[in-house]
Amino acid sequence: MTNMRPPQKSKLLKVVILGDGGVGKSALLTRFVSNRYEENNFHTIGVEFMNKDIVVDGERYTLQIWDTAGQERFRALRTPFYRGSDICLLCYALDDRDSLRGLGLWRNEFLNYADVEADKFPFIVVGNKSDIQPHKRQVSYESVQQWCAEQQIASHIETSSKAAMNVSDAFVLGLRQWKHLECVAEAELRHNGDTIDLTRPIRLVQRRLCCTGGGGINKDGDGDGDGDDAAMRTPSKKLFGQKRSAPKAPATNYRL
Amino acid sequence: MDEEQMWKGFFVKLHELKMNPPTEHEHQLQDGDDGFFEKFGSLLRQKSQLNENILKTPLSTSKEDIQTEEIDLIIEKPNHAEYPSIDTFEEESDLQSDTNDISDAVFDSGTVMNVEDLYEEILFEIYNNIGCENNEGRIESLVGFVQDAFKIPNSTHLEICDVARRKEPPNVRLNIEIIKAENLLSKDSNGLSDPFVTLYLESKNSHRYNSSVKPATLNPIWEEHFSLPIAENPREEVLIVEVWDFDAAETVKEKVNKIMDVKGVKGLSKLMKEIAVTASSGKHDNELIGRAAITLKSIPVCGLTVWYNLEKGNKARSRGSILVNLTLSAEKNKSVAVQEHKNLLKLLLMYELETSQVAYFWWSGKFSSNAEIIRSQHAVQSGLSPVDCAISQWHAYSIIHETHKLNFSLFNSILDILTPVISCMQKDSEDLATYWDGVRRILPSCFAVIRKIRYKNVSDLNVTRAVSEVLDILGKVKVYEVPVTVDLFPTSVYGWIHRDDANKICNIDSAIIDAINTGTKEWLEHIVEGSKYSSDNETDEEKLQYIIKLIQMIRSDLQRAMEYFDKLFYHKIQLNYSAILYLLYDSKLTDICKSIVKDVCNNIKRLDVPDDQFEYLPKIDNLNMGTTLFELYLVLKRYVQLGESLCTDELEMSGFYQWFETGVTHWLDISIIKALNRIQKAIDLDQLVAVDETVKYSSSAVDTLSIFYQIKIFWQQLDWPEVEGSYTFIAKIVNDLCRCCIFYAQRMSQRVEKLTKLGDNNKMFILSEEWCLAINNMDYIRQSLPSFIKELGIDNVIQKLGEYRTNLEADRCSSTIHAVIENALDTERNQIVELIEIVAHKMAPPMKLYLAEGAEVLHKDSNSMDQLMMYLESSLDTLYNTLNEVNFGRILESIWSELSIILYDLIQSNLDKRRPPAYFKNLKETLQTMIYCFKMGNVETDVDILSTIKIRLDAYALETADLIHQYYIERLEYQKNQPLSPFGQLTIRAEFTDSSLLLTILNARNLLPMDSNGLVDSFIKASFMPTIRFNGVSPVKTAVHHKNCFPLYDQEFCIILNEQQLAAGDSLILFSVKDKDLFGMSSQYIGECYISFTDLRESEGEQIIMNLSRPEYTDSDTLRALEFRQGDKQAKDFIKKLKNKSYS
Repeated sequence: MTNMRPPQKSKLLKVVILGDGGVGKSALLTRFVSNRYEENNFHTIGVEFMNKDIVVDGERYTLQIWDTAGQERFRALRTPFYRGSDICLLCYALDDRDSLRGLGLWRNEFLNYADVEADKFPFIVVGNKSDIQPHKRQVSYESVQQWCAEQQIASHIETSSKAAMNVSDAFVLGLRQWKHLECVAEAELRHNGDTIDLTRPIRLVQRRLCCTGGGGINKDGDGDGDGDDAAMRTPSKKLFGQKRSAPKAPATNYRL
Repeated sequence: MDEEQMWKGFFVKLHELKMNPPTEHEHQLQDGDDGFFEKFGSLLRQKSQLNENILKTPLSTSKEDIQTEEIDLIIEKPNHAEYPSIDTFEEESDLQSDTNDISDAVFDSGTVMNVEDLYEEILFEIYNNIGCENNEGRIESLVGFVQDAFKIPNSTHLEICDVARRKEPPNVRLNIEIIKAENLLSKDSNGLSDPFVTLYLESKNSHRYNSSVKPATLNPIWEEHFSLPIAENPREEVLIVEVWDFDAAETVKEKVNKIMDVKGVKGLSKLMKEIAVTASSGKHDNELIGRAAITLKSIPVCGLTVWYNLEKGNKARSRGSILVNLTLSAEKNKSVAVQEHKNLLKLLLMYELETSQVAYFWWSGKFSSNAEIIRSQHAVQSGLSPVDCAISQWHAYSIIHETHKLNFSLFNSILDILTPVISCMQKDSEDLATYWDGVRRILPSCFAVIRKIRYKNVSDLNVTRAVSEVLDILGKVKVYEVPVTVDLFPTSVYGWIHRDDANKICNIDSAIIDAINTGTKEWLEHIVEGSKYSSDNETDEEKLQYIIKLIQMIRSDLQRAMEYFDKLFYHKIQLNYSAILYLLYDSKLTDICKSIVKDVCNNIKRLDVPDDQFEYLPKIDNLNMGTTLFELYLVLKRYVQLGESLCTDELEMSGFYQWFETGVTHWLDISIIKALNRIQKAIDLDQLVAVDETVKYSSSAVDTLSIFYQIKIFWQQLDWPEVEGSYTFIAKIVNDLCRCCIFYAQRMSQRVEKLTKLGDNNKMFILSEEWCLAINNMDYIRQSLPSFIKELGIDNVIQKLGEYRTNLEADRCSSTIHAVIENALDTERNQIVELIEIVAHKMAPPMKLYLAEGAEVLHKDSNSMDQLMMYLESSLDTLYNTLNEVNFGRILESIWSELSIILYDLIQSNLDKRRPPAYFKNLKETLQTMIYCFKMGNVETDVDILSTIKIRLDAYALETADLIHQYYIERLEYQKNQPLSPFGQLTIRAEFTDSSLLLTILNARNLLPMDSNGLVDSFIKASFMPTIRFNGVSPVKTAVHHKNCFPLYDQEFCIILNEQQLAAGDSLILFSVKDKDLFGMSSQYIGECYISFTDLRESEGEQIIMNLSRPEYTDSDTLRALEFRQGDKQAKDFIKKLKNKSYS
């Protein structure tokens, strides 16, 4: 009764989407965030940023997604945004053999600038444009699986932004992978006991509770938990309104 | 405070800060990072400008002694600080060479003339001086002068002297040009004359020379030349110039015909006279208009052009005047004479230079008087024309110039004479050859001036003067095509000329550009070498400093070019001088800078930028790299701007910014790290005291905003020229600024939270202004963020993106920026709210304490209430005075929410303790006082929370009987709001008398069938509530109506009531409708309905229809309150009965 504010915090995760120019990174993001598909061809300039709230396995997450420009000339401009990432989506296009080959470079660039350890970081390999006709396909599922195995990347998925296939799944896959690695890290940490190196950031589940995100701290009683976007970024007025509802709550306990 | 005002205030403050020297506080703040932002922002800009000024100053101000320096401008050793000694340029020979050598050199040039022959000629001329000047007395000094000049030993001198004396005097001629006459006397009948001129020497008047006749004019122009030999004694000779009116041999008839042309009486008489003469003599006769006599001794050696008045007899009447040019000359072979003159000039000039007091360069072109007499005598006696003289000078001077630099103005004035006549010269003439030979000789020194334009301080007027003269010369020379036979640019002399292929023909224009380029290149190489550090393993920092220095030197060179030389070059030879310089620098500098900058950028070690959690701050030591790079960026930017204003060509340098891309990223990384560190420091230093009485935030907020301000300045200075990059960098800056904001909020919260932790935990929390300031600070930063970001010029960049790419892409970028800002604002707001909640939460324990105490003891004796009020009032007062409206509202809500929790807890725990209703009554009164207190704050309090709590307290404060009655009243309300009833309806009618109530129970409808036959055997029981009030008043019952769902009772009851019972409006009648069981003892319950006395009185005498209902569980505070009174028998029985009813 004393703590009438349920800790409805949503975890904030930074996601970076990488891949050659034209493999459909922005389309993937647009489909995921706004459920739209832009027929017009366009290029991402430098970086793009979007928020998306999702509920996975009963937990709320706010994904801060940074979409990057694939063109080489943007390299110096996009790399600063890698740091602090939690999940990285490596994208290729099923109709472009070269884009798959590029993934290794992308992975290295990311590892280099994000300053993370390759084996402890959730990479997701995403094959875009699964809607293409079979004869246009240049990359087989198996070959990618093999590449992933070589790179020790556990997650691989084929999506279509145009046909809205597997788009959210790709992000959820990344999220689960992240969660898995966090748990591993936490377990290791516990196992190691006191010898925590304080000079390095520790990947801990608990550390991401209030961050740059709008949904970062939702300490209010946002109890409906339906993952509604507006609810995640509650304006102050609403915040109080919901809090007020709290004292009424015990009434439901009364039964005749 | 509205936002605009806040901003105004901020900028005024910032301005003040700038005006005032940094305070102790700022020093402390900047200490941490060595004034990083100040350097990066405005200070750096000032510094770079300062540097340029420093460089500029020595160029324009170091006025060294011109007198000592003006000697031979060109080959002077550079002594300027900026141009350290360069030995390689000193190629000109030593001036102090022996005079004899020079003489040799002078005659070396293929001349056949012997010095002694020339000497003899000159002596001869001296002895046979011509012209009006009486040089008799000077002969001795002239001879002496010539002897010195020619360096003839005495013995030879006497010998030659003798020869010269014995020589026949020269044949002198008088050259006359009759130019024109004016205002002649008219001699003809038509008022005009037909003048012609007759010339003769007085001694030889038989030998006459006539000019042509200019018909019918009084102002004839002849421009005719005559040459008269002067046999002997030229000094005594007199020249007679006569102007005649010509009379043609006309017949009388012709003359008579002229009568029509006659003007005036005088004219007529003249004509008559003529006719008479013609008629009488039959021949014509010319008439003298006037005459002038000129003594030859009045003619100077250099000649004379003068007006003479015409005279006739002694009449003083004006007869007109005539303009005559008179020169003397001697007959001589022209080419020999020219050759002699050339050599004479050389000798005289050499002697002049030797004996002159001033430096060669400053020789004005005027000989000393002796030399001038000799020169002019020679010119005249050799019959040389001015052009001949000029050619001779051109030749002589240019030869001397090769070894002894003469003033360029000499050549310029000679060219003024020569240039117009060059085109008239024959292609193979000797003069033309001489001309081009002279050109060939002086050109190297001209180009040397251009090449070595940087050797002297521009403050020295002579530099510009020399350049100006040289350009004049070049401009005049390049007009004419160089003959094929002349090689103006021998490779041996012009090693510096850029010859791509051997066959390339050099012309003066290309040579000028080559000279400019060579000079510039040499200078550039010199400064490139000169400013380099000696060691090979220089640091990046040194490399950058080196480029900065280099560019600044080049800039100052360009500045100098624009300021002093551009005009000259453009006006005289139509060249854009500084543009030529810039283009040369452009490619060279690009090569140098590009590799170094790229190198440095590649060497930059990536920084450990903290991620969004800010768990640690990276060390800020060794982060000074980057400021120099940025300085270089700014310098280059300004440099390119200069170039774009100078040149129309595409510049290699204009893409300079691309080399810096990694650098910019690095700067932004540095910025965020430094900013975070500085924010931390600002917060540590913050005393949480308002900056001044007009504002409600403390120093760290101002400090943080000034960091933002510096970042903004940095961005404005960066002024990234390319739009896509701009957008991306802005995205990063915005993201960084947002992170700073959040970081600030985070650390600010921690800072104030520490305030209480330091003290005793058990001590009562006292809300201080510090908390409010912390909240205000956070809010202030948060509110400032969007406007700061706006000032970065995002809108402009987005707009350009739309133009450059598509609107779709621009929109996506725009929404990205928005998303980032919105995120930051949300997060920061949440942090503010969180802090506010913390404050409210900290206030909770004392509030709870007071409340509990206040409810415990008897209201009258307790001062706990007063204490609570005082506590709240003082806290609210602080909050109200310090926080802005929004946050005050927020904290009020938070306090209310805390209070409601406390009250809730209190009520709940005391219910469990079975407190008497009096306790809750106390609590209720406390709550009411508190609401009153909050309303003082003039803020709408939360009605929902209050009404809930109030209703509950109302319930808990009632005695059980009152509670039960309260329940019935609730039931009545429920019944009234019930639209339909499944149990049926009851109709009654009632009337009040003074002492009784007449109640008629009329009927019931649609009763719920209770029996198996689908019917009911119903009766009504009416009881009066509350039972205490109606003690002694028995319930009334109707008869049972069998097997009828629509029973018609129609039974009237008269109930005697006392006055008090009649008056109470909240008294109720409860009608219970029951089914009479045939066999059982008890009746089955169908339903019930209520009516209050108030309602009865309103509808007195009318039928009242009521819905039947059954008691069931409702979310009723009244019921809950009764339920909590487990120890109260009345309450317990009531609940039990109620349960039976509802489950029946």
